[in-house]
Amino acid sequence: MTTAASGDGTEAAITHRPRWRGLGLLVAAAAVLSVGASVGVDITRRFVQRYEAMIASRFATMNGELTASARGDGLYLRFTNFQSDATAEFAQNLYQQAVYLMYPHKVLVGDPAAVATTPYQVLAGNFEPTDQWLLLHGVHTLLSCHIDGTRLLTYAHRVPATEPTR
Amino acid sequence: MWWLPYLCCVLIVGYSVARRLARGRSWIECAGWSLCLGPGVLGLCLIGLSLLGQQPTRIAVVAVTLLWAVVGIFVKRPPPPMADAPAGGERAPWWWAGLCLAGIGYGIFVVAFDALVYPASEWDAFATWQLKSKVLAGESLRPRPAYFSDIALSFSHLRYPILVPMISAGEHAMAGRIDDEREKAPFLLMYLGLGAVVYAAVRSRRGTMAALPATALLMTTPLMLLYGGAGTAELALTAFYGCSIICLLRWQQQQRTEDFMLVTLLGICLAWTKNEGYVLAAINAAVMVALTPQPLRPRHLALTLGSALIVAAGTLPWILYAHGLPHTDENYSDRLSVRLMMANLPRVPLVARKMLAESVWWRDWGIFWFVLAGAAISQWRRFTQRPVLTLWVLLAAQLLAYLPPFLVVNVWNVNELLYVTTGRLLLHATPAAALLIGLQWPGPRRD
Repeated sequence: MTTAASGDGTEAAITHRPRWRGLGLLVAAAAVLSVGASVGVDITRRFVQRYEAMIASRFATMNGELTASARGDGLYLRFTNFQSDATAEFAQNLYQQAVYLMYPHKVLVGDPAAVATTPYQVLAGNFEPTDQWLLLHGVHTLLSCHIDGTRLLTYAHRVPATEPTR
Repeated sequence: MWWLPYLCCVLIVGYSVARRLARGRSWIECAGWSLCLGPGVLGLCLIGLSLLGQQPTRIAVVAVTLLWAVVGIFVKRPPPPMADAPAGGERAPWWWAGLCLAGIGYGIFVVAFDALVYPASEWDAFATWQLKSKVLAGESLRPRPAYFSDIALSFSHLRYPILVPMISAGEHAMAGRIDDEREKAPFLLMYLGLGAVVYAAVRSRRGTMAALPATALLMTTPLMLLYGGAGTAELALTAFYGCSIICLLRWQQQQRTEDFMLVTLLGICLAWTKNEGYVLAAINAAVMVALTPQPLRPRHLALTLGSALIVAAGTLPWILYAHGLPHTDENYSDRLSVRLMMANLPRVPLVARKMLAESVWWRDWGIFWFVLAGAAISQWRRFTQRPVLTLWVLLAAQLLAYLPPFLVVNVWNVNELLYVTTGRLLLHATPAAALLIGLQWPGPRRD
């Protein structure tokens, strides 16, 4: 047994046991394995599956489409054919992305006094608004989103600010 | 390029606070404190101004920075300079340091890429935290923005605390526009800061041989890499909590008032970051009372009570502000009742099973939690050491404290809630786990 100065400056006894070297190697090997596995998972996600790049690209496309449709104003999102659970979640995601991207402009998916949090709430309250309704709620664009298989088709309808046509 | 001056402001504020409260620490620890405290303190100041009716602007950010620079650096110089703390324990050989630094380097690279290049694409980031950052950048909290009463936007959790959004709002304010690309930049600093303080804390007790792998494990878990630069509140909460428990360990060791002040400041930051922060701050206070040497000394009791009162007073403005806001999302706090929890006790095995299943899911954690278990089993004698015991108590208390929401949840399906939250809840516990891995790293034992 020997003594040595510890990190906080106090004298402490250090017990040398050969056993810790074997254990140390095992734990060190596990740590290296863990860091390696973690980095491997991340590399696969980012650079093989290109998950982040794919989402960023979808975001940029969506941003461009929303901005072009809304022309500096708010919009109403109308979802059609979003029938499965997965597409319902996609609709919820589109709506929330649109709210974030368009802020401070208004994005509606139904009655503005209704909660639209879950995918079910988003789709259940989603109706086809009239031009008068849109103007009354201060949005001038209806962006229809239709799921066709795995493709998202969009169509923008612009309501004239002064003369409702629909 | 306004994000760079903003990060400089964050660093100046952080350094000013760290210089006062973390004096005598090693340079790397002081850098870590600066990186973690800067966003928190600047964010709190901007919140204070916003509550007074002043929305974040470039001038406000610069004025707060200058104020802190004057207070922290020029007023009453702290007596001892920041000396490098003596490192105890084993020194890492070059190949071991290289391996660990390679992992840490990869983590820094991808988190920086997420924070600085990609827009906020993680669902929670854009739907909750960064949406709020746009609101806070555009309007002051007085008069109350229409956003906070808009129940159509209740998906963004109107009543959630606002420190993380305000940190990003500061970046928008500095840029003079809504800056979707760089709003997450401050969280890169917190990621680096968390790594630095954990490294310094382990190194001062166990040397670089244990500190480097503990830091590498913490900074490279897949979930840390996912959330590090995502722009959610997970990294901020994890960083503030990690820093607070390191202060708590320091307090046990030296009973310096500065450590106590840091725990108090970080308690306020925790509570303004996420609702879980209130619980974590309370656990810290309880552990501080229970596991400090001579806990019944009047000075210790007075400091703990004072700290709890300051944290409560510091978080009161948001509690009052949020009181009248619509409550359409899951309302855990109002549903917390012993009767309901007892009625839903059969959910406990399910929650425990899901937590355990999450912790061994290698795509989220590698074998991080196995390494902790391995280190703990092989070094079980270290449980008698106060820091190790304290960290295990903190870890257990934290995991237990996360249980009640699953017992009272009713809007969400409990399985669905477990699926989306367990990973993030475990992420909050990683600093304590990484510190434990470092402190229980096999090596010469100090009796």
